[in-house]
Amino acid sequence: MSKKILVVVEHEEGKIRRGSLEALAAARQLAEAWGGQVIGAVAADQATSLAEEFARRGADQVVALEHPALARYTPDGYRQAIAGLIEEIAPEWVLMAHTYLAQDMLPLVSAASGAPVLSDCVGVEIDGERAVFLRQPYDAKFVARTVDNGPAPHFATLQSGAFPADDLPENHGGTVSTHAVEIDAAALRREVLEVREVGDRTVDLSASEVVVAGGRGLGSKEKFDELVGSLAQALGAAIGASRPVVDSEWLPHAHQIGSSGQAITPKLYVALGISGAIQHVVGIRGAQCIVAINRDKEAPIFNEATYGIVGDVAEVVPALVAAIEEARAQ
Amino acid sequence: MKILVCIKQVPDKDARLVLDDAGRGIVQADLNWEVNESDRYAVETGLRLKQTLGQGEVVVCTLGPDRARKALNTALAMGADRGIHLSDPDYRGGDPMTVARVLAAVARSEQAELVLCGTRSDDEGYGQTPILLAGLLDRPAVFLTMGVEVQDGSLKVIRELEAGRQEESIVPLPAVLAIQSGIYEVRYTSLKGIMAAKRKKVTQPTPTELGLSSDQIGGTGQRIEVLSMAPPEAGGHCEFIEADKPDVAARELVEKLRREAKVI
Repeated sequence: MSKKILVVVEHEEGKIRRGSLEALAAARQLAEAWGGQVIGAVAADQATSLAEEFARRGADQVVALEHPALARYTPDGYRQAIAGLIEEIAPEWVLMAHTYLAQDMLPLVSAASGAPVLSDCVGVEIDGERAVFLRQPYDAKFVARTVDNGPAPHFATLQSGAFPADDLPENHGGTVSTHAVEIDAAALRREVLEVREVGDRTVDLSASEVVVAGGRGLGSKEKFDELVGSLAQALGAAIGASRPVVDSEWLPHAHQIGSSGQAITPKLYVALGISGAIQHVVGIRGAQCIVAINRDKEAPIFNEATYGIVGDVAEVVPALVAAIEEARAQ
Repeated sequence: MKILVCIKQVPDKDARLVLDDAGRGIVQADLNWEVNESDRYAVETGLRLKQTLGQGEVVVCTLGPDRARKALNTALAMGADRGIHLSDPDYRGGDPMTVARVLAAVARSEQAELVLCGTRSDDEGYGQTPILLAGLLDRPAVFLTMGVEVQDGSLKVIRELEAGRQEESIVPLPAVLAIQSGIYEVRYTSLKGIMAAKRKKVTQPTPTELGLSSDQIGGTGQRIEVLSMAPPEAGGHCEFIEADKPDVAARELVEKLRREAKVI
């Protein structure tokens, strides 16, 4: 029997999220290696048009899981719909984008069969009948080749950007079927009151051509203000920060770059004392040129950088400000 | 309300990590250890809930070898009432699922109404133990909790969403919450707290006492296997500007940004 790879699709405001297309790209890799089949699952009150789109983009078969209670995401609603489908089709692997929703819900599904999730994967190797997923433990200081030795179904979530969706077909011609699923409304234990925008949206870094940001490595709010401030002024740049800086209240949340803050696409991004945790990195991958200054040569930020200087920011930044002014004066 | 807080001891954030000879893990000797970042916020959340309610007990629990006792001591010094140290060798190794099984057994035996965890450990970073635990206990859970209060016997919870949004919801008790870093300011341990911690009770239940069979837990029960581990391939394209003096490096960088990258 051919192996089935199930992709659980995430959608927002009637659109498939990019990460789910990346999960589809990963699923196609597995299916092609094994002569298997990619099956998509879209849970919503009205899921058919999204299911049709997913079938065009490369899924061989897409199941629209429909119920009025699936009009908005709840972990118990999704869990019931997806667990039912898993039981029905018995997939070898269940894949999702590594998003907040997947982390909130997928382990509830996997726990039912005693399975952990190979989470936040950045690559996959096919080794005969098994898939070896690459993870980045210790804040991406290492890459670990990881397998799930248990019985199917296996579960994995995929890091944003790790499986490019650029080469997906436009007209794959997969089939769509609509299932009216049964949801036990009494089992929807989380009652969502509202979803809201928080913090001030006064700082819009997405339009800035140059962004200078600082991290925990700057040591204190005073150092942050002095070093990030002077370099930003010299470059005419907007100011950003990594999450630890915002958590320490050196800067308001409006300046935060990364998965829980803003995604930026400047021509130039300068990271000062930022180690480069993935939660930050996903927000800067759209930058044209990245400069990283950090005293730790092993810091993962250098994997993203175009240019790097290993050194003490307190020494390098004043020198950089002087060099910029010097160049301007010429 | 009885609150169980699950914490993990991880290597210090700035620790120099070295691969072990087998190339499947890190050398643990000579490392400095600390309480995982988001777990500290979980302890803080538990203490604040008890404070607000004016009653209850905060029990802190960790799975790990002898050194992990220090993580418990930190939480006890912050104000937790008592500790559970899952130190039996049969607990060790394992994956998020085996750990969740052990924690579920503790939550059941303690009859904890609320279980708090961090969101993600800074070492292996699987980021799923609290939700697996909720699945095993058949309790509702919230990942990335950024706010919680008790309201009419239920929890009002704020969950962080991507791109600066939040979801507010009502979740019935008993429940499991994974607490996100930054929810509150974490208190420091006072000398008084450290002294008081020495008198607090720490128990070490065995798997048998928790009703666990050894094939379900630790290295025997694990499904996830790390085949090999290595530093990332130098990602690649970063051009390091190597100069002895900062001013020389700075000039070279500015030159490259102007002539090569043409971004300033």
